[in-house]
Amino acid sequence: MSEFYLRTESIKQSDILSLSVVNSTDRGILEALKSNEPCLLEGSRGTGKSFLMRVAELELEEGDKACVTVFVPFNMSSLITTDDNLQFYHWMMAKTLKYLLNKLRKMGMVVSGLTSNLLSNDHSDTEESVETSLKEIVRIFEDSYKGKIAVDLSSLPDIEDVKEAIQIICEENDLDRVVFFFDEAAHVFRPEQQRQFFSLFKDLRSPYITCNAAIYPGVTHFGDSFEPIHDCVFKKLERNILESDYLQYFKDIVFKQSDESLKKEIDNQRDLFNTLALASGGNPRMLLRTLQDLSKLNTSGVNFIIKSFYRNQIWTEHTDLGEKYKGHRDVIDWGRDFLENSVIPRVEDYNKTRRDKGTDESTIYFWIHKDAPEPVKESLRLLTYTGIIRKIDSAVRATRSELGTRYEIKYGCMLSLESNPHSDSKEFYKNLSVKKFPEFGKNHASYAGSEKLLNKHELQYEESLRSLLKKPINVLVALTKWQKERLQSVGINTIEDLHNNTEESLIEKIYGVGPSRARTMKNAATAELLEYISG
Amino acid sequence: MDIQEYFTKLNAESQTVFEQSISHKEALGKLHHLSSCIYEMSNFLRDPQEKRILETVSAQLESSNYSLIVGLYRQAFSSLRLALEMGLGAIYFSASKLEMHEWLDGRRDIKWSKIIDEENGVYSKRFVMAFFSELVGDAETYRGNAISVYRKLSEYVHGNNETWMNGSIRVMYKDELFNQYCNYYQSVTESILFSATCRYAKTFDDTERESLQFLPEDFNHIEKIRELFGRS
Repeated sequence: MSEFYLRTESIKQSDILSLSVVNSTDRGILEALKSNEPCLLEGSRGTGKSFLMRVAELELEEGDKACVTVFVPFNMSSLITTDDNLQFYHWMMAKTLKYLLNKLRKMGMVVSGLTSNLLSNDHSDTEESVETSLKEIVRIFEDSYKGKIAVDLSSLPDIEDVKEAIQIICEENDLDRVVFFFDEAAHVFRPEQQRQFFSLFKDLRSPYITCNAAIYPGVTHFGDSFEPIHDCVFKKLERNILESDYLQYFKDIVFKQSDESLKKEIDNQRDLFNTLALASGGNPRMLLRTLQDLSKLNTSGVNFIIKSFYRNQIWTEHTDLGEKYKGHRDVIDWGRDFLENSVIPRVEDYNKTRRDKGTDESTIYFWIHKDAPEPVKESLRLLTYTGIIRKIDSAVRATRSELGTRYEIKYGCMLSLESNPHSDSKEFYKNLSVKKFPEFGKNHASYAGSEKLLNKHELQYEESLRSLLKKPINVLVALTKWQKERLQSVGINTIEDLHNNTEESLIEKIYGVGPSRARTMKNAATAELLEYISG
Repeated sequence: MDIQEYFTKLNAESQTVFEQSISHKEALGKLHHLSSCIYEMSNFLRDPQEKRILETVSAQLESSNYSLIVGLYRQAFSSLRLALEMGLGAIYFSASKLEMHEWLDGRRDIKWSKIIDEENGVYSKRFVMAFFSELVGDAETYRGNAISVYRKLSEYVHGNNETWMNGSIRVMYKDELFNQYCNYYQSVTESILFSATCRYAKTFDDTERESLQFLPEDFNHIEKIRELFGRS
């Protein structure tokens, strides 16, 4: 069918506002992005984070002349593979300031080196102006990470110099503040770099600077100095398919990019369109993609696309993630198997039993115990990144008052299993209840195999891994003093020792340690190793 | 009034235009940003001659801007056309050293029709295929834009009927001409930057591309450029 814009990046800045659809939730997010408070916007791929940030940027530019907006996309780059965290911090800083300088140049507030070609008596390079000091800061940072010259780290400008330079620019140009929008921030899975990003995010706090960033749900490493609840406004970009304005909202989004004949077709086949909109599970990019790939808006076309996209393509994309982030490949593949072979069949069974009994209930939800093995949780986190599942809430009580996390499987993925997705959708949707969900306890049989994800024989023995394994268990913050002492009392002194023990052997060896403590102890070592392979 | 007095008066009028033009800070900032982008790109060219020409193009653009703000509109437009010819000419000749040397020696002229030629010009399939094949599909649009803006600018150079009215020699500020110039300028610099990206972007290494972050920003909507600069 028609061609749509599937990525914000493909849309020219001047066309953004004419394509935007803003509901009350979006408005709330926009206001947070435009406010003086820093804001983190979390959402899986394709939910529209970049788009909303662009809209906020344009609205600010339009409405507040005393404010400079700077959009900073942290793209993949060979430079961010550096292991030196300080270098990574400097890289981010240099990029950010360069985008700021570009913006100031566009606004006519600074000029480039080109001017010396025309001016016959140019002394501006020796002048003590703020722009030269900011340019100098960028140059020094760039040199430090490009490794062109050996840099004495103590000679590098610190964050206070940067903030001061920005403050002076604001004062000299009658500006209230500079607003940074970091797009795809911390999208790489390296935990240490995520921490570095959030420490920059926090360091840049000043009356003259506001930082906003779009992040993925998989991003969890905020570091010690940053607390999402206290240090910023935390917003989630999610669209619940059970909300009353859901269908109208998605129709509006599609109409903004449709010609008259497509609009007419959709109006005539509203039910079919609704099925596609629900299948996307709140993801505009997936809706636009399935519509684009649709041969014709009729029942067989819709059934075909739902089956092919939500049974195959969406999974291929998830698996491809493993190619991109090789350290995660096994966890990604295991997570897919777990969801496809264990979770989805159980949810299907659950629905079938209720249907057979004649109960008007259906579900796309499942629940995982809070103490499930760490690799299981990690694989679920990665599934939220692609958006195949969505975390609804944590600390939800299930059978025997046990606590756990509730997830939603993308509606399309469940619907695609039906032989006639479209005709089954109406009833299925009507009966959906978030209160119904199959449970996966602490030691569910389907977790089998997850413990092998970190089988050390499969990990490459690099120097850094070796040194990590040799670290004493004292570095594990997740363990209490008592737990550490108990471990040491049976000769478990290093992370490697702990990793080599199974939960059963811990229970057997240590008096006072049962299944629950054994799990906590193992999880602590596993989390540390997971962090390593993430790099 | 003697001749000195006459020019002093002209200068004073020109200063009035200058004052009015300069109030458009943001518009002038944008113009400067675009010529600076070309200047920055020239810094990464390996061939010293190509580098020098592109640098001259950016200075040429700045001097067009100066003509604009003092109210010498016709000169500004014609100087802008020269920048377009020089910019694309440099890229065209970069693929043919012999012709470039002849051109620099003054034994060969830049022929617009050759630069823009459908079969062999800088936006031709043949040319783009050789240096950045993924952009072949986008090049035709930019070729169209370049031809169109060149034609419009030429009207000021040759002085057809309409431009006699628009650019009458009297020195005074004209808002309409100011805005028209800004639009044409955007087209001219985009044409040059797109063509230079086709020709050179793949020859840059990662660090160099890293320094040219304005390119993926200004050509964000072209997927292949975005990808080359590391954005998915």
